[in-house]
Amino acid sequence: MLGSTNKIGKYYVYGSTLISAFIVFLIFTILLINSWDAISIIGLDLLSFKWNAATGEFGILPMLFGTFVVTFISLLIAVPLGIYTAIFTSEILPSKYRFVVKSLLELLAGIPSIIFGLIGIAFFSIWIQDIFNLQSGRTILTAGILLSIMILPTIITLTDDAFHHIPDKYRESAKGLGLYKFEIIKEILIPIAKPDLKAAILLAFGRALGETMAVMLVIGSIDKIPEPIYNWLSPGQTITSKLGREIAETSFGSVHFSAMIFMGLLLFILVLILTILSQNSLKSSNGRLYE
Amino acid sequence: MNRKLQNNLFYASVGIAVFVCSLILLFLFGIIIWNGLPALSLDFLTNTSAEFGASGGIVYQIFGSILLIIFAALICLPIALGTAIYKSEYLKNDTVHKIINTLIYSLNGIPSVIFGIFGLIFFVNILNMGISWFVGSIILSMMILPTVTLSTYQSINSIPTVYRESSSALGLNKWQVIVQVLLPQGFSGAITGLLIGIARAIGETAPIMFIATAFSGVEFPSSFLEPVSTLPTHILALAQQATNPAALQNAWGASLVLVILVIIFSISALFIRLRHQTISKR
Amino acid sequence: MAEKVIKPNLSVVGKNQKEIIEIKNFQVWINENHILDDIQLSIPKNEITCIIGPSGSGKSTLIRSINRINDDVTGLNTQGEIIFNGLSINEKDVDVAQLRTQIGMVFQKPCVFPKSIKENVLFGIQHLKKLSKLEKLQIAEENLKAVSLWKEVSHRLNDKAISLSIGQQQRLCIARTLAVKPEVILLDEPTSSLDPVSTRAIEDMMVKLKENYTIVFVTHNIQQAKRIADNLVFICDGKLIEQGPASIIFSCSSNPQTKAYLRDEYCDC
Ligand SMILES: Nc1ncnc2c1ncn2[C@@H]1O[C@H](COP(=O)(O)OP(=O)(O)O)[C@@H](O)[C@H]1O
Ligand SMILES: [Mg+2]
Repeated sequence: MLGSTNKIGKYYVYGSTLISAFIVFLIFTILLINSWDAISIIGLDLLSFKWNAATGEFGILPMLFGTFVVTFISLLIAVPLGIYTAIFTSEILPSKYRFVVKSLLELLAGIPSIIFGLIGIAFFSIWIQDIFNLQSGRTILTAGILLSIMILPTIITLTDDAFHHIPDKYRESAKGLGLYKFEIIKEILIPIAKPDLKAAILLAFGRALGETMAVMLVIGSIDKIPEPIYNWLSPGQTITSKLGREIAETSFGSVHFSAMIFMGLLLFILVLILTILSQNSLKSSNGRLYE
Repeated sequence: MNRKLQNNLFYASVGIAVFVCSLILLFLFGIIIWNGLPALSLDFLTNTSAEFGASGGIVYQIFGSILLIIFAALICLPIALGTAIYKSEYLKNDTVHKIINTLIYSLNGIPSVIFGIFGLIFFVNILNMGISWFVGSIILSMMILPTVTLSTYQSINSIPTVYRESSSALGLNKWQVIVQVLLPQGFSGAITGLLIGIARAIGETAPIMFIATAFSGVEFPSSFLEPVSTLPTHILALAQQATNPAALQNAWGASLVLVILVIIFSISALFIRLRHQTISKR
Repeated sequence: MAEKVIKPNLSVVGKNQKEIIEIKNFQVWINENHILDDIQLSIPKNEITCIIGPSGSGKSTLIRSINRINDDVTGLNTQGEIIFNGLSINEKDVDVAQLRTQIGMVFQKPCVFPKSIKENVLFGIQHLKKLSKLEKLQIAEENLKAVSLWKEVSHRLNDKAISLSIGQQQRLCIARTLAVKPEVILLDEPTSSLDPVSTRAIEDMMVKLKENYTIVFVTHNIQQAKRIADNLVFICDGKLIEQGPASIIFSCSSNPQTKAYLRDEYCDC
C-alpha cells in the first residue's frame, strides 16, 4: 500500500516533467509541419520582397525587415536609458528605496501589451503624426518607440540585479584608490556585470521580437519595405503584426496559411536562440523569470 | 578631459535618464487612471455591452477573463508541482537538469502570438475543438507553466535537507516525505508563482484572440467548447474603432479594470512571498 | 627659513613629531547608534600607528572615516573634525576621490579586480596621469618589489590576478595602493585572513614602508601590534581609552582598562 503510493507518485512526477518538456517540441513540430507546404511549394521565393496573397506571392522580407528595424529602434532607445537608470537605482539611490523602485518596475512590466497598444493609438501615433506632419502616425518609428517603453522595465530590473549582485568590496577597493564613481562603474562594475548585462539585453531583444498587440496596432500594417529603406516614418509590418492581423482570416491548410506559419516558425527559432544565449550568459540562472 | 568634469557629466546623464523614466511611468499611469476613471461605474462593471461595446458595460468580459485564468491555473498547477518535485527530489543527473531547465526557459521565452497560432492549428483545427474558452485556458496554462514550476521548485529546493533526513529517519518513504513535509512548505512558492503567472496571463491578448474569444453575441458559456469575451480582446476591438469617442471611453474603462486586476494578483503574490519569508526566517 | 633646513633632517631620522592627521571631537552615529564617541587623536608622520580594540569597538568605523570611504553607509552621521595636512576633510566641497589618492586604503579581505596582475597594480595610478608603456612597467616593477612580490610574479605579469594565493593577493592590493603614491596608508586588519607566513611578510613590509609613508594599522592581534607599532591607540566600545608611544603603553600603562585588555584580550568597558 505504502509502496504503491510511492510508485504512483513517481509516475506522476515523471509524467508531469515529460509534459512540461514535451510542449516546446510539440509547438516546434506543429509549426514545422504546417510550414512545410510553404517551404516546398514556394521555396526560395519566400525570401522575396513582395507579399500578395491574391497573386500567390509570399515574400516575407518586408516582415523580417519590419521586425528587425522595430526591434533595433526599441533597443537603441531602451538599452542606454535602462542601463543609466539602473545605475541610478543600484549605485546612487539609497538601498532603502530599492523595494519601492522594484515594485514600480514590476507595476510597469505588468501593464498588458494591449493597453500599450491603446496608448499608442490614442497618443503616440497622434504625436508622431503632428510632429512630422504625416498623413498617418502609424509608422515603424511609432512602433519602435512604443516597444522601447515596453522592454524598459526588463532591462532596468535585470541590470539593477546584475549590479546589485557585485560585492561592495570592489567598489570600496576602487574608491580607496581615489577613483571617481563613473570610473568605478565603467571600469570595475560594468566589466564584472557584463555577462548579466548581455543576458538582459538578449532577453529584451527576444521580448521585443515577439511583442504583438502594441506593435500591431501602431505600425500601420503595410507589407512593404519603406522607400528609401531608412524612412522609418512610413508604415510597415512585422512578423507578429502580420500574424496577429491575418492568421484568423486565412483558411487552414492553404499555402497562404502555411507561409504565415513559416514566419511564425522563423520567429520561434530566433527567440529560442536568444533565450538560450541569454540563459547561458547568466551566471546564476535560477529565479530570473519572475523577479 | 578633466576627470571631475567627466564625473559630473556622467551624473547628469544618469539624472536625465532617471527623469525620462519617471516621466514615462507618470505618463502611463496618469493616462490609464485619468482616462479610465470617468468610464468606471457600477453599471459599467455589472452591465453587458451593447452597440459593439460603445455603450453598456463589461460584465461578460470580466467573467470571461476570470474563467480563463481560473482554469488555466487549475490545469497548470498539478503539472508544475510534479515537474518541480521531480526537478528537486528525483533528478540527480546534472546534464538532464540542464536540459530540462533550458526547455523550461525556452517555453517561457516563446512569444505569445506563437502560442496563439499553435493553439489555432493544434486544438482548434487538428483536434477540432473549435473556438472555445477551454482551449484558451489550456494555452494560457502552457504560458504560465515555467513561472509556476520554477517558483515551486525554488521553495521546495530551499527546504533544508535536515527535514528530509529526519522524516526519512522516522520511517516515512520518499513520497510521504514529499507529501507530508515538503509540499506544505513548498506550496507557498506554487501559489506565488501561480499569482504572478495569472497576473501576466489575464492581460494576454495574442494567444487567445484567434482561439478562445468572440467579440459580439457572447453570453455565459454553457459548455467547455464555446467562445467567451475577455477584457483584453474587448479592448482590442474597441481600440480598432478609435474614431468613435464612446468606444474609446469604454476601452479606457476596461483597461483600468484590467490593470487593477493585474495589480491585485501581483500584490497578492508579493504579500504571500513576504509573509512566507518572515515565517521561514523565524 | 631655519625650519625648512631642519625639517628634512628630522624626517630622515624618522623623528619628525609633526602630526599629519588630527582628529578632533569626532563622533559617529549609524542610525540611532552612537558608534564613536568624542575621539581625540593625532597621527604622527612616518610612523606606524596601530589601532587595537575588541571587535565591534569601532576600529573600522574610525579608520574608514579618515578617507571618507564611509560616506556611502546609509544612516551614517558624523560630528567633529578630521584634519589632514592642515585641511579639514569633512567639508562638503572636499573632492573625496582626490583625498583618497592621498590617503590610500587596504581592506581586511584582499580584493583584486578581475584583470591581470599588472593591470591591478596600475589600476589607480593610470587614472591620475598618462603613462607610457615603459613607465607602466617601471611602476609595476617598483611597487611589486616594494611588497616583495616581484620575484614571485615577474614572469607572469599578464596572468589573472585571481590566480595568486590569498597572501599574494593582499600584497598585490598593497602594491596597488602604493602605486598611487599616497601620503598615508590605512590598513584595516589586513592580515586577519592570511596565513602566518604572509602575515610576517606584511609586517616586515610595514616597517620598511614607514620611511616613506604614514601607516595606520588596525588589528585585534595584540602580539602583532607589539611587533610593529610605534604608537598605540586603544579603542573600546566607541571610546578612545588610551593613546601614546607603543613602548610606553606596553611596558607601563597606568590605565586599568588597557592593562586588562593587553593581558586578557578582554575588556568590560
Ligand atoms: N553599516 C552599519 N550599520 C549599522 N551598524 C554598524 C554598521 N557598521 C558598523 N556598525 C556597528 O558599529 C560598531 C563598530 O563596528 P566596527 O567599526 O566595524 O568595529 P570593529 O572594526 O572594531 O570590529 C559595531 O557595533 C557595529 O555593529
Ligand atoms: Mg573591523
